[in-house]
Amino acid sequence: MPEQSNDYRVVVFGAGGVGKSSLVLRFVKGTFRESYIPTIEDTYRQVISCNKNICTLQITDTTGSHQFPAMQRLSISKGHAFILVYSCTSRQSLEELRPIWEVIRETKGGANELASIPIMLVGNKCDETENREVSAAEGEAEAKSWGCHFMETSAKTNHNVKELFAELLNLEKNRNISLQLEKKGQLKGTRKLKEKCMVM
Amino acid sequence: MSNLELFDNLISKYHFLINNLSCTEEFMRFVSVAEEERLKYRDTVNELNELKELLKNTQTELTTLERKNDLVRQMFDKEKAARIKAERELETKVTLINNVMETIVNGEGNRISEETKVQLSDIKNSFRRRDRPNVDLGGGRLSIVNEGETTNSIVSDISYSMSEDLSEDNLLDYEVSRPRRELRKSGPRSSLRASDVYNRSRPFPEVKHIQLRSGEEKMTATTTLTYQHGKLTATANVDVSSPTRKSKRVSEVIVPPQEEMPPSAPTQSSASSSMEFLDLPDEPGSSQLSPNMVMSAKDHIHARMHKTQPHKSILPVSCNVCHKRMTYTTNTVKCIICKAILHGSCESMLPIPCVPVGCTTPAQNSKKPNLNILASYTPAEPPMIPPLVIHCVVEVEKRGFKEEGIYRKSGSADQVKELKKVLLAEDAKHRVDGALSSADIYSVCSTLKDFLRGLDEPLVPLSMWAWFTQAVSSGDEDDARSCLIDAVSQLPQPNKETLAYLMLHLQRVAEYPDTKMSHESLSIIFGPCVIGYSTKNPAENCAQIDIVNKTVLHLLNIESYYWNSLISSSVSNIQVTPTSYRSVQHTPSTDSLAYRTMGRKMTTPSLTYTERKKKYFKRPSQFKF
Repeated sequence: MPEQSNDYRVVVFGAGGVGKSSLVLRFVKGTFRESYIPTIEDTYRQVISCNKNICTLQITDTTGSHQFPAMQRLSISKGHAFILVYSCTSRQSLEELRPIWEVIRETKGGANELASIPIMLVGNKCDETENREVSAAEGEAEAKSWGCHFMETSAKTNHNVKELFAELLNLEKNRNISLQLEKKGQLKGTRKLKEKCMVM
Repeated sequence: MSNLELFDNLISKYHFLINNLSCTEEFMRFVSVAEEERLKYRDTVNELNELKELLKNTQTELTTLERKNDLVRQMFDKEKAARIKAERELETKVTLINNVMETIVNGEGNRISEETKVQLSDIKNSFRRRDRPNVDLGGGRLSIVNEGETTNSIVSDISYSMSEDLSEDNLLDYEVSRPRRELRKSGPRSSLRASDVYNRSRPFPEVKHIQLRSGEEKMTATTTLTYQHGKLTATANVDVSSPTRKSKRVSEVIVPPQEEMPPSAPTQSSASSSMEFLDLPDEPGSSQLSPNMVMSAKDHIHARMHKTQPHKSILPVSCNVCHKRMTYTTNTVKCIICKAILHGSCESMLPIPCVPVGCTTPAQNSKKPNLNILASYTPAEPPMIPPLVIHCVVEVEKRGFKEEGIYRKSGSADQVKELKKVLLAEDAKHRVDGALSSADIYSVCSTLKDFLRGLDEPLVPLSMWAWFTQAVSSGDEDDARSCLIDAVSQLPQPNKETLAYLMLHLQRVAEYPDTKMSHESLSIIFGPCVIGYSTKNPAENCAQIDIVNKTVLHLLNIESYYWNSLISSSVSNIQVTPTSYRSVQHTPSTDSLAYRTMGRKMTTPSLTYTERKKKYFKRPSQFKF
């Protein structure tokens, strides 16, 4: 288990071309790029609140072509939370995630510990309804069998992107983390978070 | 007491004075010697100063000369680049002129005067002479084309430019070189235009337009090729519209095929110029800079025919094509290259290309884990490319050019495992084609990547890692290119040929916009497979990613004819080494040479991989009688 530092590291995994970079870029910069360039590894930083203090959210965008198994293990051992992305238009990309999940499980220890690690299974490209190969229910079932949470997103239409990261940080039980820099005395929780969103 | 002391003192002084004479002499001598030495010293110092001055002057001179040398080297490099460009242009132009000659001679054989005919054939011969490889391209140039006097020739007094697309994506403008005087005379510079972009994917009928223009007159040549029932019909229309000339000439030529060629066999590059109309690459993507190089290495590998022999097998085997059982009495043939066994009647259905089987299999190597290198998988004779690579590439080129994110998206892990097993198995030829065509195309890509990544050493051996990566770190594009070419040439043969084959394939992939895979994207994907990392430490690998990808990008940017020449030079029966490449090559500049020697100092390229492991039979440990 990585030490509690001033960083909170989120690692994004998934097969090639499922839209990991698009998701992260949509969240960090609010943009969607049409270009088609494979990622090697990118890290984005953002300031968030943690235990009523400021800390850095580090989002590591990994390569999808699993070219670097060694690097994959490295980022897993360093990461605090994980987002596993597949594409709704490709069943293959969902199957691809299983080995990654297994590596996370091995690296992070037993089942008990695994439950405390925030992992989100994400079905991206949910806007492409005509090409859909994996239904939301299937994704949900898969997430249940892995013991993690599930969400469908679309980086293109900005559907559920912010909610995804909010939910992920909510899953962290050891720390009180939220996307917004909270004022003193504010409570954690989704409701609070949403209220805050509305205020902003 | 003091008196006594005084006395002693006096006595000693007295003695001293007694001996004084000799002392003085001694002292005088010493002084003179010292004086001599001093003079000598002064001279030496003067000389030293002079020498220092001289040294300074020489050094200044040297720096000036060095600067000049650098300048000259730069200019030289530039000139060389220009020369290479010019040579290439020249070659294409020569071919085009030949084509036009042919059109003219065939098209209006009875219209033009004898004199012109003779001149045309002279010109053509002068070009033909140059078409032979190894002829010094520098000699003669186009000054041979002496058209200045022939005012009645059709091509003489019109400024003559034409455009023709050699490949779809490479619209080149050509202008036929003529004596400068003519050009200046001929009024406004003619416009170059691609009159018709014809589609290469439809081989026949072929329509080719050539437009020649000058200030007042216009000449349009249209050649139409149709191929029917083994007969090639070429129709040439030449329209000349000018106030003074006749306006229309039409003629039809029927050119019988030169010889019965197997349908997929590429045309010989030595075909006469009349056959050059036939030299159409069968693929839209194959961009060839020189139309002379008809048979690329890819064609050679992808169109290799099977070599079958009658075969008798005592054990019943199943046909590789129809999968029916064959017994000893069945008419059985076997390809001696790829070892496929099949019915004699099924021979026509055996898929092409014929891929030679590798000499050893990983099953044998598994006991000796250090043999998991490229050379263990390659066939014994050139081109030494592992069959797995050829199979995957052929399959990807068959179906993958329309797929978005080919090589980027990953295939099913199970399928990859299965494919790898089938492709590396000893009896691969039995099931390869079925397994490949049923597999997802992304799995095929992943199999290729997985195979390359799974080798103990990447395509570029670890010993040469520094050499390759340093080549591109200098920053200068030309230097990087020549350094890489230099480094590639030092690779062991299996690695060199596989690398060349892979690069050619990736360049073709990048040519298709549907794949959305640019050279940059492909270099990111293939960086770890081709170049790999110098260490096993993942943290250090992160730092090396950039340079590794940059290296692959540079490799991808090296022109395809260089890669072609690498493969074809090892294949004895084709001679397509481009003359332009052979004659002019960029020489690395000083900086890059320094890199190279640095790289060498650290590592000696291990050429031992090319050596084949011999199979020995295990000797029985003990004989018992």
